[in-house]
Amino acid sequence: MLFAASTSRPESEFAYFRALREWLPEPFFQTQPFLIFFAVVAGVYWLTPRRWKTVRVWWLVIASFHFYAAWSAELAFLVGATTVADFLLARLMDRTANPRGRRAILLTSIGMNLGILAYFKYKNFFLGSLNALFETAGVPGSFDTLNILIPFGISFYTFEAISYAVDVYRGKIKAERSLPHFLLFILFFPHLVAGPIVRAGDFLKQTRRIKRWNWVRVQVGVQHFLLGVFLKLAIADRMALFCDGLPPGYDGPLHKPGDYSTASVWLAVMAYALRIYADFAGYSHMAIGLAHLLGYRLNKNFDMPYLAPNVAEFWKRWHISLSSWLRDYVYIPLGGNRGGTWATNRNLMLTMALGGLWHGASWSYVLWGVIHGALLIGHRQFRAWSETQPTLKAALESGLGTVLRIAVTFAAVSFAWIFFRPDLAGSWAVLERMFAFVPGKPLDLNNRSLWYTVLFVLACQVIVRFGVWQRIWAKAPPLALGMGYATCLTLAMLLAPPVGKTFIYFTF
Amino acid sequence: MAILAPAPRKRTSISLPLSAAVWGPGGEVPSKRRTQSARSVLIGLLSLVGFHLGFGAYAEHNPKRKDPTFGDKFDKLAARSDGRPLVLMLGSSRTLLGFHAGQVEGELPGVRAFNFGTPASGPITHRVYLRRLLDAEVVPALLLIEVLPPALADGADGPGEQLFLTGERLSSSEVDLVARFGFREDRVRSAWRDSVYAPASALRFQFLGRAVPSWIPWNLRGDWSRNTDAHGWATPPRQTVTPEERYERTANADAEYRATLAVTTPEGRPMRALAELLALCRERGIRTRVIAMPEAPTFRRLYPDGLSDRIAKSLEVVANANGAGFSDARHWLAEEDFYDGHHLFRAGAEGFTRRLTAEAIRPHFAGGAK
Repeated sequence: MLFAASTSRPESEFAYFRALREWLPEPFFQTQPFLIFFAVVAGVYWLTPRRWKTVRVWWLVIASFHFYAAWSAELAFLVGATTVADFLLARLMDRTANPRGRRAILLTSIGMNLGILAYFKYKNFFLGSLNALFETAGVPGSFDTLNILIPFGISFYTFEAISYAVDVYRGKIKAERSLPHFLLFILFFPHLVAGPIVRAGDFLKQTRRIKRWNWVRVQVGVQHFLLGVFLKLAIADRMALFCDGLPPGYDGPLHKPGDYSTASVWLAVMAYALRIYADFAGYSHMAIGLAHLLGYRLNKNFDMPYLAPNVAEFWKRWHISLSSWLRDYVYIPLGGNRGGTWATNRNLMLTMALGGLWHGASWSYVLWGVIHGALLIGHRQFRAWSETQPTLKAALESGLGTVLRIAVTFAAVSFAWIFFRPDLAGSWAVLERMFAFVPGKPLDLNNRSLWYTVLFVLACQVIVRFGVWQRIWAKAPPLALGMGYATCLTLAMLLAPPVGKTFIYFTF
Repeated sequence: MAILAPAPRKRTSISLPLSAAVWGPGGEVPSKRRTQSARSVLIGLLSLVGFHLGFGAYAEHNPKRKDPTFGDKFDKLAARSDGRPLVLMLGSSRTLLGFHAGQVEGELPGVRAFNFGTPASGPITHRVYLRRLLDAEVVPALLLIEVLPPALADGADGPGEQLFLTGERLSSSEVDLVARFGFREDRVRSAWRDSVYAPASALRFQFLGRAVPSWIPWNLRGDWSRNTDAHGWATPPRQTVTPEERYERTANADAEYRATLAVTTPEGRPMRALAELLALCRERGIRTRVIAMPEAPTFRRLYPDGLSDRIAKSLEVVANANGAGFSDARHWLAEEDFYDGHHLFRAGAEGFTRRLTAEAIRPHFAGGAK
């Protein structure tokens, strides 16, 4: 598999947590144990009288802690401890009038969060790179890498904690006074594992509101959840069969490209583009849906990114919570677009390279970010030039021109996905095969279902893009909608492949 | 600046891009809309439960749908029903490839012959299948039962057959039946329960394998019984192998069976299932014959010392005790008749069927059918 399952972790020393793990073996929302867990959590939550809102918040904090502790109790305590530290540091910052003192506290908070992130996620990457550097210079590398477990979701909640500290420092928000509210902001289980990355300003005010049962919200939550399940089971996991190959060998075109024909590798790259979208958007929809079912709103994370007519637009629609975070906390502090063309391009490249590294501790992810940086810079230059070419501009903005731009953007983004994997050598092997134009094995599964799935997703996106689905949703009778929900879930179950895959973003 | 330039923050809808229409100008939700939402969700839930329970109940009473390996053969058998006495052979993939039922009909036009061989099956599966056939009022005049020696394996965790005859292929009463013969009841019951309460998931390969077979890997389609001739017999697409291929296939058979044969015993629970099956046939007046299928010399060397003969002896004893005959065909064919030491090519199948017809089938119909 391109991405190994993230569930291999040591047994806890405590029988309680071992039993918890047996009850909730995987932190995947579409699994039966999780749905039972959620039903218990939501049931107790809504049965708690609404005037006891702090009890409700504590209940969700406890549930979230257990959700994480089922995976690793020790790391759950670590995440809990750093969250308390972030809470206390922000309170201290709020009380400190001296700008230098505030700055020192901010740096302490950021340093703590980045330090933990660097230790768990990047230590081996940095040590391995140093070893390689020494070896290139003819000196044997002597840094031993560690076999440590990376806490799931660490990249997500680290960014949430950093943005909170920065916002408090900037005076954009006041430091949260309630520990349970702050704990819930970081630990809230629907977004804990893989986002969306929430902002304190959006979330904390929701913890203070009294939550009332709202059927419209429940319906919206159910819709999001079902859409997410469908995207994950029926699209992402199905596309994985074309990329990873079939069990038990998983020797698919993206693993052993040398065995497959050039055409098969091209198809697998397209399938991978669809898979990664459906996988992450599916997870995000499930997270948003679960949050709604508990009365919370998480911001939209995807907005039909493959219909974007250029790469800049793509990044406004793909992983929106990350791209807006990078914009607000990296790109703008670097100077944004305020320093002329060269400085803007430099800032773009740095931001995207950092965004690549955020995804994974490997040079291939950095290269992926650099490719996107280059595409964004290229788009900026082309757009500036096309402003001086009215005929070309008009042609590109016509209907046909827009379709062409969407196709080119999809091709460019799909090309970049080749590097979105931990091993650079594997990416080169795929690339080499794509342009070798040689015969070889066909795909392991008849590619008819690949094409039908691509067309289905495209049709759905076009229907939503032109507002047809919104009109249906507003006017359809409850009977039709209800049966539609049942059909959606049934189809997702039917089309799920034999072996479920972990979420790609769980490994980040 | 495009992507990373600050954008004005919009009020984010709480819903999919599709549901903005529910909210009124002031953010208030009309009560009619709330009622409709409640109805939509509850109808969705009821539809889901209703659909699954309905589909589950339908599958529970239609073993052909739950178990297409059985269902496809049954349909072929039913399509050839014409009143002639039926010679039916239950068995494993050895039977599937080795018993040329159409040839039997050529030699004995007065009988109808059918190959009910299914891969990886042993006495417990045959017991289940015979019950289904009798329930459907399919009563053979002569029943041939192949016993696959590795299917007699009976380890501490239960008979090896339970890896293949999984719970979702069974009905509730069949779960009780296989549990009596050592299947892990918790596992098999759990899989059966999933097939009843969540059939869209548990029976998806059965369904997709019939509706859109190209959408699932070939090994999940359950095509073994579909890709046979009208008499239930199948033969490999190629009828020769190179020495290298034969060596490789025999090595595969070695890897697949040596460990299993080490825990194979003629005294285990699968043998009890065979005895019970034979007793049932006797009770129903069905003439029965137990068959030990041909094996190549290379395959026979996989058995621990004396095991093959002990199994054959035990089969003969249990057959005789229940009024059935026994045909020991282990040595009937030569190495080149097999493509991997125990599965037959067409020529091997024809040779085996010819001799089986002469020695075991024809005598049963000596008075009537020719």
